[in-house]
Amino acid sequence: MSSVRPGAPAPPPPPDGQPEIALSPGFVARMTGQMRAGGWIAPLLTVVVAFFMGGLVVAATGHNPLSTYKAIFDGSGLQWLFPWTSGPDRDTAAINLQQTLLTTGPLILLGLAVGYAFRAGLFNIGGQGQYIVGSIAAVWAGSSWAGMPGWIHVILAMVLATAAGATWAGISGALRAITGANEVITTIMLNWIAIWLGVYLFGLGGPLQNNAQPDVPISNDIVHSARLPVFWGDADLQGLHIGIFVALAAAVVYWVLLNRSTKGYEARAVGFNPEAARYSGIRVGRTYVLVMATCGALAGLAGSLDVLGWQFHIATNDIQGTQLAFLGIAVALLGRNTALGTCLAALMFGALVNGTSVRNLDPAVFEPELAQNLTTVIQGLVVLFVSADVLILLIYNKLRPRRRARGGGAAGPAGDTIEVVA
Amino acid sequence: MRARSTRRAIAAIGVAGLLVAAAGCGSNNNSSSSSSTAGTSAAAPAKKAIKVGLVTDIGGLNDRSFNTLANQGLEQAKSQLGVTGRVLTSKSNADYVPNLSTLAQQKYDLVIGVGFLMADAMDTVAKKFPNTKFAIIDVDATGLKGKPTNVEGLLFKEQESGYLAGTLAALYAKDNNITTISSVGGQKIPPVDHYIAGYEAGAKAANPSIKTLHAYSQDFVDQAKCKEIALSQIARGSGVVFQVAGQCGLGALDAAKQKSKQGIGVDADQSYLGPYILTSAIKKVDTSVLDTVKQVQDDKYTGGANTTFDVKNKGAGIGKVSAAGAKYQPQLDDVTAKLAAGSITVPDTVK
Amino acid sequence: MSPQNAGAAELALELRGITKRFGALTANDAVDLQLRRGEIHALLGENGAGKSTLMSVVYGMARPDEGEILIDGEPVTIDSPREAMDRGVGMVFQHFMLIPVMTVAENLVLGAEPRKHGLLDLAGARRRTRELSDRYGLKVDPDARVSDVSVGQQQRVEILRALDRGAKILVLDEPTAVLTAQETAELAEVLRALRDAGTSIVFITHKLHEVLDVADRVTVLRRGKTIGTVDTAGADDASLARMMVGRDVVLRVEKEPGKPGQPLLELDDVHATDDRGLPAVDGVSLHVRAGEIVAVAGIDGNGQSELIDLISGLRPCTGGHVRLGGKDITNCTPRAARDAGIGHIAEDRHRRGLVLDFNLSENLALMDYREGTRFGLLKPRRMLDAASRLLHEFDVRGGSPVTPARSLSGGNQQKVVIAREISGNPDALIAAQPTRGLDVGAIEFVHRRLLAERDAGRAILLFSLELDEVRALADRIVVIYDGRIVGELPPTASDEELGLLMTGSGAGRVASS
Repeated sequence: MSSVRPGAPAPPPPPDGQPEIALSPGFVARMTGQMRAGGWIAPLLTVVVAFFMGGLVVAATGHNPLSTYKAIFDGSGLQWLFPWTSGPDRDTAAINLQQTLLTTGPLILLGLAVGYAFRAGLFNIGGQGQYIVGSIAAVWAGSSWAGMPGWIHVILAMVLATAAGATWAGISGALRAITGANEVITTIMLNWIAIWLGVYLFGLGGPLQNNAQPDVPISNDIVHSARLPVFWGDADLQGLHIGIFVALAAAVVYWVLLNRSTKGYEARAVGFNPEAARYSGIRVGRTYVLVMATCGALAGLAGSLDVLGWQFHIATNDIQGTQLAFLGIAVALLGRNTALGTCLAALMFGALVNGTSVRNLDPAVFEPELAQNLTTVIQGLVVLFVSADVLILLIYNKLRPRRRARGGGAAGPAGDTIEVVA
Repeated sequence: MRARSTRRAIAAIGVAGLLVAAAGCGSNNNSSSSSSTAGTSAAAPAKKAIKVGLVTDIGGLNDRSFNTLANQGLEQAKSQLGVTGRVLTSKSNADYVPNLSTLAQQKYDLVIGVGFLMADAMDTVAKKFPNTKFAIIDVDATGLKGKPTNVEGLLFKEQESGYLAGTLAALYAKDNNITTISSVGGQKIPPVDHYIAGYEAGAKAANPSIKTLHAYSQDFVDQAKCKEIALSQIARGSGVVFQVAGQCGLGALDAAKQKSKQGIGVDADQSYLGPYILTSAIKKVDTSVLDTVKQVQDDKYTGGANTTFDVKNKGAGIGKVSAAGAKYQPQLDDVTAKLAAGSITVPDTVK
Repeated sequence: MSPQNAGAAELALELRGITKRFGALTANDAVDLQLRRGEIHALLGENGAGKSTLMSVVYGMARPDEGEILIDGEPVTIDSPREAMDRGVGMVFQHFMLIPVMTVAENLVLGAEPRKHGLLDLAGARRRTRELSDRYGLKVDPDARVSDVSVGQQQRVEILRALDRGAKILVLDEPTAVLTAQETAELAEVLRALRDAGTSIVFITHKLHEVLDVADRVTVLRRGKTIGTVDTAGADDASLARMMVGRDVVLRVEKEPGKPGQPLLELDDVHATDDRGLPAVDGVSLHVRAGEIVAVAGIDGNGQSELIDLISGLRPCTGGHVRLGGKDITNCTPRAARDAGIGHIAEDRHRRGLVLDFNLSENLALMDYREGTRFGLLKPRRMLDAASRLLHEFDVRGGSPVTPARSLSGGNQQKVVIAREISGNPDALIAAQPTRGLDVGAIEFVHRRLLAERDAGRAILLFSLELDEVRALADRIVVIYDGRIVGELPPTASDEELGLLMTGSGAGRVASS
């Protein structure tokens, strides 16, 4: 049986539509509610369209998109997975794949840090700041207490980084819960505070500046025993450390937390319908704080992986140059806030970042000047298309008009104009 | 950290530390002149055919600063010395180790890195590939933790460039009833202070009664900050403003232009900005690259030590002098000769 | 009310064999409808019977897969709402398409603004509004902002706007769903006046008494099919309900007199403010005994919502005490109130009662998801089992424990809410508008269930705007007006007695609105 409740015809906007004042509510609502709509097809389509557009850009510069993409793929090291790759190619591929996975690990965590907030109806743009305070905590812990047993030292540094990130994001959650301050604004502001905090700490004369070179605004090095063990590749030449397993484990924890824990249940209830959650006795404000703290913990952990895994110190300009967390937003969007989707999206972006590295692109295929911007272009396109994915869904549903009635004009997410009742 | 974005440029400038130079769109006119002044006669292309790799920092090739100049040096080496070269740009600090080791693995004879942030990566990779020769700009090779014997440090005496600029500024001031000259630094870090210390010493030497002002913007990017500082200096009587703050410093020069004062550029020749640029205090990164390539070809490469570029070997100095300053050329030549002869010792710290 | 002009009048609108499918779903299956010129024709059916789909076909918002539409005997195709308007079809939606910040006159001319020198002619808009208002006897204030006028007034603006566009056929989609009893009566007057002026009206509803009260003829839909068209003269509640549901329906459940025990829920001079900080509950004292249903009757907006929030811990109690079984629960958190034994069937199931994107087992667990958990992990197996049991016990149809709540019909959604609240075994149950928007079959279920819970010894506090419902369920009726209890009546009280109290007149006060 069906009753179709037609809402808005085209002309005037529905009066029951929520006023779209702030920048985030509509967007976040869409992310919270509709993220799973379209299943795996929409994200896949998004990627295909993004790469197609990227290909057009490549072609516009007078290069062959296919050979360029082939080069990027090779540069990502993913062909190591094919058994027929052998000889020196395999060695090169192994090194490239190590670099790709080195990026993938923190990206998974940063993607989860955004995704969990989305599920609770929050938009965490503060991954960057949380990552920074995490790495600050990790570099401080890892470069202090030289005599401590290695594994205790590593774990302690990661725990402190996690706690630092959680605290940092928890501030935004608390501000949201207590004063209603929009977390989009507060997380961005905390990003800047984290940046300048780091610049101060590691800058010339700063309390955490290194002892050896007073001229250089950089931290002390992580002591050798506190570095994450490298299990694949050359430990001295930035081989792959065990952080990737930490990230994968975090993805499993994320899945359990979200789908099987009471806290995740509360977060989802609040994300879908804060009013109903409040009515049923869930403490909405506390949930905001907990969710943000959890997100910050994930991002802080990501910071510790990079510091303890390959970076080993932080210079002031590393802090200002940190952009990985923003990629984390794209990862979460593409990964649909699910554990598996986030891992796959992180791998894709990791491969893209390293595949477009100039050392892997034969200058004959692509000039270095152009190659270094290609990632940015494709990345931007993916973000654009993921955001426009309601549009893609609409087109998709129009082409396949089953069960769903026509979308009522330009009605926004709150328009929810059609209700098919089975 | 590995991600990139528009802020890349910012980071880059922070990176190159200050050394940073002329941003803006003008070409660096001094590049051709520097090659001709590079000391040696134009080399015959019959030299040993070696492979030279250059790894930029995250500023990329278009930073119009260190990376651009280093690449120009490599291009000159290719055309003048017949070497083959390859540039690897770094998108993030995660690229340093892979980029350096890739070139080493591919049997490049000389691998050059740009900027002090690559120091640790250079240290590690050099230990792994003892048969490859490395060089790194702006880093003291003897200070590397692993003490590698196959890394050469390429250092500059910025204070000598600053001294010449300060001399010119003071002479100009004296004749134009100006009592005060000033400088705007980015952050108080050594290369910036080298320039400023030299600038003030040179000015005092040329005119002991001159007043000098200096201040730091704590920023290498935001032009508004440097402009504000320069305007306040001008309000306190400054007639010549020396910028030592990379892109931010362009704001200081803009202030000078707006108030009809003189400006002095830094790192690269910034005379393209207009006739109000009295001169520029420059360091010739391109020369250092070219010279190092030559050393390797001539088997004169000295790993584990530094090569310092100064006025004497024409690796530091001033750029084009404007019409307003042209009449002081004799005095400048005199100071240049004394610096080259070592009869003037320039301080490198700001009092 | 009488179909005096029925006879041989021509047909303004005729639908022949309209079929509309959505994928595997057939919303309308060869539906026929004949609307005579100058009649009020009710389209009656349960939720999901296909009434709204049919009218969206007429209004050009959905294209029929089969069948034809005739206007004034001419076959037409209607592809857009604009075409529908051009052919004289006007539609008034359940959710109004008005811009709250604009005035009535501005809204009325929106889309067809009078212009003067290229600018909006506000005086012209006002004049046009007044003319229409006079011609059809629908009083509105052209200069009032829409956000400031009542829902009933807003509906009038919608109707006037349709008439302004030249509507000869007016379709109203569940127009009374948002109205108070008083406004409903006024709407009926307006519709009769329009009919007498020659407008043909389709009136979509699932409320039987409205059909009998307002319409000349009624066409009943069930599961997408036309069951039949009858004159309202000679029809009665029971016969229409039978057509609509397909079986005999008990419209007014039989009720044994209650056997009240000890007072369970006691309110002692409680106060609360509304969202703007103004006093909304102003010293309410009442008690509900075990095994008793007390109904709070009143016109919407007299403090009922705030009173509900106050009892369930959602709004601070600024004075007085709330006790449950003798225990003071004043200003408890919502969770503590629930733990103490307050159940709460929320006023608005979409906004407050359910998480529509959760599946049914997750919704049913909203109160007790923490039960039996260890290490903070949910017990999905337990949740699913409990859900299966409750769905069966409360006869929820159209969904399994893993079906999203969104895809259920309104009646079944409400059953889920009720199942959850009752399964929590509360001492006191607050039932706020428990049958709003439900059709007769579902209403019967809800009423039976509430009475059963009463007989099981719970204290039930019922809030309802429907006087019929109040009388049908309550053991005692208290009337709320302007945040105070202004009187108590037995369930046998007449509309007039209740009405007097509800408008404040009974207590000697003057109605302010």
